[in-house]
Amino acid sequence: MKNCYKFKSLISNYIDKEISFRDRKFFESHKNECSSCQSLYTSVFSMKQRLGSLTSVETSNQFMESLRNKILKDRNSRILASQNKGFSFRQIPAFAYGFSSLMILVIAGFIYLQMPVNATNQEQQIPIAAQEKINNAKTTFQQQFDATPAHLPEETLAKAKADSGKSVQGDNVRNFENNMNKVDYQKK
Amino acid sequence: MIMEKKQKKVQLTDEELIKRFQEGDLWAFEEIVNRYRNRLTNFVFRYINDQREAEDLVQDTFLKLYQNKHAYKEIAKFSTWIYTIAANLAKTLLRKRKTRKLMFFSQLGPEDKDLDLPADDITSQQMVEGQFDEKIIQEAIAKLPEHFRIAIILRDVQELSYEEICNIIGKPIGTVKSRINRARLRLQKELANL
Ligand SMILES: [Zn+2]
Repeated sequence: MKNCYKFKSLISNYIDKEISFRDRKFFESHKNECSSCQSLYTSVFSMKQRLGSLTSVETSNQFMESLRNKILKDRNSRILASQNKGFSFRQIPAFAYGFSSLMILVIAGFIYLQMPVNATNQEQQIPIAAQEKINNAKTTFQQQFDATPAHLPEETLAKAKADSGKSVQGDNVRNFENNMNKVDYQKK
Repeated sequence: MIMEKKQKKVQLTDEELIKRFQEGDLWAFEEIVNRYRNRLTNFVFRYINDQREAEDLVQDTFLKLYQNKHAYKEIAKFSTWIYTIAANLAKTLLRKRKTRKLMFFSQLGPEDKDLDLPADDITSQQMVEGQFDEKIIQEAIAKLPEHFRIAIILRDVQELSYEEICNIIGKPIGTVKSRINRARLRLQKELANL
């Protein structure tokens, strides 16, 4: 049984004459004494012969012409590609995209880290008296900004305020109704 | 005079031809194509089991040769180089085919999965008339695992040397020898069961 296994593993080496003297001696003696191995060898050997004599597949008559067409088509597409030098995202290699997004990330991270630190530093560095002045200035500026323009009459202002409120409210109602209609429609 | 020149060119080795083609001689390219078109189509047909696709793939092999003629360096045998290009294209095609097949089966319902892909029926009557003998062998080859199939085709159908096969497959001699032996045993078993 062990010999049969060894015999099997040596069949091709024996057929192809790629076998050492010792292995060849073993192979031939086992072939003579084991009938099943002998028939296996005969079968494999004739199959190998048969494979070598299979009918050759011939290429068609259009082979050369199709090949020429392929070559021409390929050449034309290359010429087109080299002429078409307009901007295209495809021309930017992937690593360029990677590098630019990495740069954006680094810059964003740098700004994020720097910003709050600077702000607190500045506030800490400003003396209390100066800070009060700044705060005062801020309030006056804010007051000026919020103050109603003096040159418009009271009535016009009131009307404008009411109108703007109405239109906003009206829009909200309309949107809400639209949404409800949609929901109803979907339910149906 | 012209005939004499042509006669001389015909006797050129593959390596001399590719060198001429690299220098711009298109006649040399055509000569290479004519030398290899049938050999390669035969190899690819046995490997992918479709003659039309095989011819198309061999054209693509020559297109690659045309585009990358300078990629060939004299350190390798030209035949090994061109076989390797064809083999790689064929492997890619088989991979694509496998994905397509997987997608096809994943789209089927569970009750459809018993249906196999349509196969050519070989009747016992046809088996008796030796003309279908080749068809049976081809079907049996197609059933072999890919790495066994390519090894046995290159060795027994194309009759290449072990060294050439090693270079084309990119595996050491021990692996190639064992694959060829196992492929032969499997194929023998497959044909004996018919
Ligand atoms: Zn035995």
